Amino acid sequence: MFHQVEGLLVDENVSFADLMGTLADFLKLFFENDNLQTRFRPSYFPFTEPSSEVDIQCVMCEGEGCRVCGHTGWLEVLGCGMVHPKVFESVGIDNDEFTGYAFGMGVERLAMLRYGVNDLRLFFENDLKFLQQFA
Amino acid sequence: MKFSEQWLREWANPDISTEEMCEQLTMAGLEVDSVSPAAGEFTNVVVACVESIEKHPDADKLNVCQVSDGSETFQIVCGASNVRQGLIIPLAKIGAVLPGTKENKIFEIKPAKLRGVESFGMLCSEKELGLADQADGLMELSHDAPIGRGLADYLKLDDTCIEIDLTPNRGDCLSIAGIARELATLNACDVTEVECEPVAATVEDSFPVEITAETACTHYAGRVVSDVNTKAVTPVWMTERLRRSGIRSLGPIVDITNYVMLELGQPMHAFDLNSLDGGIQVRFAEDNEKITLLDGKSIELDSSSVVIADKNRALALAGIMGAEGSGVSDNTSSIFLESAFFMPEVIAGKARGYGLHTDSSHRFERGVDPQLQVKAIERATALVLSICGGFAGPVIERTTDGHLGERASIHLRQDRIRRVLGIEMQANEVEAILEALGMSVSQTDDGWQVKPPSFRFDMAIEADLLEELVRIYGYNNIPRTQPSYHGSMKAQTECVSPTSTLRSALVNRGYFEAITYSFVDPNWQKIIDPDGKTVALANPLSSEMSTMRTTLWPGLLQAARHNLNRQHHSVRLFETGMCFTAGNSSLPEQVNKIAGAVCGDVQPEQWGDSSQPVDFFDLKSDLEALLALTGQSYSYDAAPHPALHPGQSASVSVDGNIVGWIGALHPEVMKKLDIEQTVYIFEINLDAAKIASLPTFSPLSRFPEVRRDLAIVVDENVTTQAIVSCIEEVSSELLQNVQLFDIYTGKGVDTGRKSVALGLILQGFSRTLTDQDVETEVEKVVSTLKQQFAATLRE
Repeated sequence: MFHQVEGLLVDENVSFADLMGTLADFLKLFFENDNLQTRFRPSYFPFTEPSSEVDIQCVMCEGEGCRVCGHTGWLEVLGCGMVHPKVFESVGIDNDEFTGYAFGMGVERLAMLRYGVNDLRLFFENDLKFLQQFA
Repeated sequence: MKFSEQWLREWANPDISTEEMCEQLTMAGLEVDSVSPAAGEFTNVVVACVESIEKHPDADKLNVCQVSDGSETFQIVCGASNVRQGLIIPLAKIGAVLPGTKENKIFEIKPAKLRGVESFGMLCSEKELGLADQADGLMELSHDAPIGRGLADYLKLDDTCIEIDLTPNRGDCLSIAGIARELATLNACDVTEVECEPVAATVEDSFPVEITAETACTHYAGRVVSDVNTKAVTPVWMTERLRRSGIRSLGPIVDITNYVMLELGQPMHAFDLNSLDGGIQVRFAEDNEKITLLDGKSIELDSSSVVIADKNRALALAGIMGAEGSGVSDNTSSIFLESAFFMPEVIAGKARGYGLHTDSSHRFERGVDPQLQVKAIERATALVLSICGGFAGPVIERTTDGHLGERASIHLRQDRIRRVLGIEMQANEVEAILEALGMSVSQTDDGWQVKPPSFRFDMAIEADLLEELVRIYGYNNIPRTQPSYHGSMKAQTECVSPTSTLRSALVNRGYFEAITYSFVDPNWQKIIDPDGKTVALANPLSSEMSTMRTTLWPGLLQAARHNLNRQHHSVRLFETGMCFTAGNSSLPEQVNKIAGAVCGDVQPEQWGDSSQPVDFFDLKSDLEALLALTGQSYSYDAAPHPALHPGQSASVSVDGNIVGWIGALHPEVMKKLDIEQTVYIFEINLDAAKIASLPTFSPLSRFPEVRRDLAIVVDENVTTQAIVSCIEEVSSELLQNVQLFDIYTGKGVDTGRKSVALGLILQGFSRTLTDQDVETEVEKVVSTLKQQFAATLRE
């Protein structure tokens, strides 16, 4: 089990460049690191196009390469993309007038990276020794 | 898709390192999953021949071999069971360093004595050389392997295996040809295609083919190759490439069809011609038609599946797997090659539906180039003739009306590049990218008409082209901007408390927030809420998680037990979350709830106060503090609940509606759940707890308050709540508050009766109250209590 946070912005002039700017800034603020490197990789989701996965510079090794990032220096943290025209069509939004972006990320995944938690299951065991660390 | 880098570079060879290539592919959306050497690192291993072999005098399982590297002969003691005279094997000479296995790290070969016999080197298995994870004997090299040559050089092991994780839209990259096209586009270099010249028929041999499943199979190419030697050995260059793609060698014909699939992306199949009867028919299966596949599995088909059949039986599940008894074997003399196009939507989900997944179904589901069939059969024919010999018949080709030879063209508007991607691209830049991807482009008033190549199944609408443009342009070359918003304010009512406020209230009272699964053990669910109408899951993760919870208690109690079992004696947990009840409609009813569970001591161990276990009233005060946020008045009424202790169980109501429960866990329930310490629990509908009222100001009196304390004796069963309500009802507006401050039973009070001490707080709004005012008020209260509850004043 994990929890997912999703975001959707639809307006007259929302672009892929805006999506990238928003998420890159969010990640810097979330990890409180102004120099946090992010990269966007082409990917595929049926509900967005173009689609992208977003990697951050590994927070464990600062991009040097370690076991956590599989020696790539990068960690995948979320998926995003421009709202697929078919999605707009199905809810009656005019594709020519509006554009939009969408993203989704796992809460536990980000919490694990932020606090260095090494096992997802700990979030659901509710062991007081774990919970007390975040009181 | 896993492949050899050497192989890819024969097709497209940009001047970049392996690392750069992998980075490029990943950033173009062909995510590189792993990069590994084609073999472990070793030195001084050569191709050698076992010249003679005799039993070890002192060990049953060992042989003493004389092994020649062409110039010298070495005595080697070997324990492998497949060692025999004449075998060509890899020989690790003295001084050789082998990569070792997981169990044995890198090691060096030294002269050794095995049971008294000297040994000067080691004969190697594939595992020992890091060529395979497993091996059941020595690696057997082909008879034409050059004796004395370094093995790494002979097998061209200076190579890398690259595995890419392709997204489902990129079926066109499931081949060396496809990856080479991408690589060439990214580096603006050429693709060197392998030669697939038509192979002229040398014999007339043919076989009838008929397509009746016209919507499913739109193109079929077949060919007879007669007098092939299926016992021929697959050349090492081919087995090595297959191995580096993770495919085992299974004999020359199967190897060739697999090779062509990897190379060009066309799955192929070879039938033993002599096992076919009448002619090939591509048809929909009959309902309940049975087929036994090559892997020995028998399945029953339905009429949406397509089979390749002859006049008697199904020979293959089209695009997925061949059937038993029609494939190529050592006794096959003539083969029938198949290279067909099956519509993705007909294959999609079929393999999985039958519990199968093959390299072939993987490709057909995603879309195989509809123009590839003849080219692939020519390539396969040429390889069969050169490896197994034989005589090729003519290509038999059938095409149905629905065949998608070409893809429809797409209108691309220049303006959309700016609006969707947020970048300006020059017309020539756009055209260059699209043309490099094999699209044909013509200009229109507002942009272009673009015709994608036949293999790009993912190109159908404008957004597909925009994605291609930005993919090749490079996602990370786009400037990162912020959207401009049209702001409008959103109301946030004061009449609903945010859930975060409720959480903070409990956290401030020493609780920890738990998150438990919505899926619970049906046994726990039944014990705690035996009357709840549960929703069972169709595909549970496990039997312990097969029911949707109707209450948060199973999860919280499980969490409490987890902690009690780990030496936490005091537990205070709460959770907010959705609960599910089967309703009358097809969808379950969902109710958000907030619940808590506490046990152990009120305070952490300390010196200022002796330890005191929590009780019902501790929990009630927590719940009251939580519900105080709502500004509503709640009543707590003793009432039975299956999970709660019969003497310590109350419903919580507002305006006569039950919105929750509070109490001690029932001793029977504790026993069944294996919880040894009394746990106090509450649960409230979150909506009820989230109500907040807008404060309404009432003016403050400037005159002093007067307090009169009363101690009355009433029957034990009279609740204080009833007494307070009665007082509030009978009093005038002078009464501001009733303060309950003591309840006493025991010495001085008759058995069956209790003393209740109350403070009446009175205040006037327009004047200071006189003794007379107060006396009148108190008198009224006392006489009513006497009347209603047979109360006596305690002196």
